[in-house]
Amino acid sequence: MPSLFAEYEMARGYDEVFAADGTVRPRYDRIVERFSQLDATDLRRVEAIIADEFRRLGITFTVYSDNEGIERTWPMDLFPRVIAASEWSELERGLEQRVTALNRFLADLYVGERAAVLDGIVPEWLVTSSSCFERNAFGIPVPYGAHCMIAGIDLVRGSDGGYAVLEDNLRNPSGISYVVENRAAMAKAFPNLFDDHTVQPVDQYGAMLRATLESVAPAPAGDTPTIVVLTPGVYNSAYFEHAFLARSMGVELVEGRDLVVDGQVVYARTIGGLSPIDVIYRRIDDQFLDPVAFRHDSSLGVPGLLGAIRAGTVTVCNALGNGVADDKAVYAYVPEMIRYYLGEEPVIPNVTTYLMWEDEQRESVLGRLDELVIKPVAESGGYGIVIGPHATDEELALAHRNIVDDPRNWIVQEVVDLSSLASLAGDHLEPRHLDLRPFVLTGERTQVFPGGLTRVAMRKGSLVVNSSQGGGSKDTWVLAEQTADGGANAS
Amino acid sequence: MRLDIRYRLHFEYDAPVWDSQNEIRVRPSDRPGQRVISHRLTTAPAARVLTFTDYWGTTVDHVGVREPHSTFDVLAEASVETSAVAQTGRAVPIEAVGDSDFVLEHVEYLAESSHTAGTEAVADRAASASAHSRTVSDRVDVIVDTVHEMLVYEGSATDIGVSIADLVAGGKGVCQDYAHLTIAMLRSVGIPARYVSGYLFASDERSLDDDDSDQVSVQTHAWVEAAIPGHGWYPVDPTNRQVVTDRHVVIGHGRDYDDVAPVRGVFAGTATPSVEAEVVIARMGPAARSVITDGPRRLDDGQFEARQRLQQRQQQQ
Repeated sequence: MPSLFAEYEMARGYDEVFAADGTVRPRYDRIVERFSQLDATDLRRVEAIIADEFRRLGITFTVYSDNEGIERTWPMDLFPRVIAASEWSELERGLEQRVTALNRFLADLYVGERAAVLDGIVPEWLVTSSSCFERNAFGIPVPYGAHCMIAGIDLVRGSDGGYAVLEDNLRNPSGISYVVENRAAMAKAFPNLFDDHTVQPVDQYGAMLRATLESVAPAPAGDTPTIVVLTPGVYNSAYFEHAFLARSMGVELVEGRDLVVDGQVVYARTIGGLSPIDVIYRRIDDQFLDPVAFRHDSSLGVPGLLGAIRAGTVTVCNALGNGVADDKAVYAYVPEMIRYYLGEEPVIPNVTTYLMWEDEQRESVLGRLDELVIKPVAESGGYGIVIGPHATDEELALAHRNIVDDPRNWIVQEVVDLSSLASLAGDHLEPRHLDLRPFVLTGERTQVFPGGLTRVAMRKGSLVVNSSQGGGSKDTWVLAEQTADGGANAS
Repeated sequence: MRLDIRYRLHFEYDAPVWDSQNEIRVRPSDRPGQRVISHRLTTAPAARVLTFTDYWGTTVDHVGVREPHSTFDVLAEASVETSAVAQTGRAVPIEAVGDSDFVLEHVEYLAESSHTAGTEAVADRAASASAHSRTVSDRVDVIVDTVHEMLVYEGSATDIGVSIADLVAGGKGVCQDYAHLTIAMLRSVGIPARYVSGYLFASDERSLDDDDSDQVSVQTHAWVEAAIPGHGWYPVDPTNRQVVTDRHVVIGHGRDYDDVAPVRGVFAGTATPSVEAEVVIARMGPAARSVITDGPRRLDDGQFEARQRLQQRQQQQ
């Protein structure tokens, strides 16, 4: 029986499982041992069982432009990702710090003195010219200043194994349902694997989310606020997740037409009449939330909702206007925000970023764009990004010209060689690049949910981990016990 | 000057509608040159009114009516004391608007907004017309004159959704069109400009001269403010080509009409709305009379977009 690792070739960058000398990193010891006793047929069989299970449970995601139909079964690779205990406690500290600073910034901007802007920490023009600066959110306080109650922070690991923040998602970060479902599937497929480890559980997410949302309910709601999850409907790519969230909290899943506003109070239409709503976990973008203040042509939202939020009779999660703090340009200023609001050094750094509107930074990179990643500030979804090492001379010349013509619309970043982890490819394991999206919840206090969504590229060498573009996922373990590579406190 | 303003809005539907939700921006607020003595807003059917100040500083009333209704009335009454504000900065040279701090500070008043997205031809016209202006205020005045060459005043000539290109091609407009075209041209030559919504005490918004009425029945009015480096905002009224006087009462300002629309709202139902709006302004002097409402003027129903479920209504001049 050929070992699953027989053809394993180390990739560029940091390998999560194997050290440079080929030895197995201690946190993966027992997993490598177990997988060495399996062959490809075993794994294919388990994979088929899990795929059936996912199909049966309706665990899917949606690809909008796929001829085969819009629903796809969620792809999960069987080789888990493991994060050592002390490595996680450092990440936890860094994530809590970052989200705390981002919330302080949002509260400062929308209901505070705009101190960070006045003190020159973040340029005012960057805020006022951002398409995500939501003037309708101005002057609306949020309980505990928790503008971002649910954040998803995308992390990558560089060649030295150090983590860096690639992107903040402060609007409607999705993926938590897959974290929980991946774990349930793994526990069924490899029960023995869990016997060898003490892995932090993830099935408490619903309870934790519910407690968070209850803590931000308006005061008159009392001890048992009524919470709903507001979805745009079954055609949304994350509809499975919306249903999951409602189910795991034990609350109703509603669409805009199920809610109505009367006298600046939100009610759900029920067969027993109107029933007041205290907290709305909405998975609808700002622009569609209320046709009075935003897009008149939207029928997804709730007319008058903004009036109710303003009157303080309902809390909407996440708050409006968070997009101003997670765009590519403001991202670059987050380390400064951490120093400014918290008086601390950032625990997790940003990917090295150069701001093209800063003369010195621009001059320092214009000569070596072929080594860097060039990103337009205003675009989203990967549009307009130029990857220097893969770009043609014409593309680089155009990027150069664009930067010089309109420096305020560009940032430039160092290339990060994403870390890789063993993943099933055909009949053996191969390294595949991955990232990590932990989730951070803020109500009365800020808490980091253990682990997060590991997204993995399914093609060799590919850096694309998005599920919509063929990426997969992995169960992500945070060990509760110490391992030899767990840091200074290891036993 | 003490002005009593009575704003009335009457919606009528050909079938019952329900779940009407509205943001109303018709209240003057305190600012240099005006002081609000009293204000009151009521609706029929009666509804709970939530009053707040928006990002731009405008006082907004939020009103919803849930039960089915076939008419909806808004009545806003205000007493305002106005005074003329002396304008400074007429000598500020045009080069000053190029200062990078000034530009960055006014980013949101320099970018194109939905109603002020100009064309190259409009920008060219603004540039060539004002090429010889040496001061900022002179350039503003020249552009206002140019707008007058480009547009002829005609009541109800345009819908609020009209683009600058169509406006210029049609050559006709009312106060908000004059304001939008002026703003587009000012921004195209680098002068930050904002849209002002308010009331004008004049029986004809095209002319203020020799108007000695004690009471007028009009519509809401719109004009423009241009930023002068170091001297704040310079108000101009392109519809009548005059500087702003104590006959002007400000409701609020924004990037364009959308930021200060008198009414933004939706309702549920399939009815077709018709709308009547009127503003009665009385000058209160020693021999003041109380406001007497005369017959409301009827607006053109075609100005209002009807939609299947959610229907938009925006009050328009």
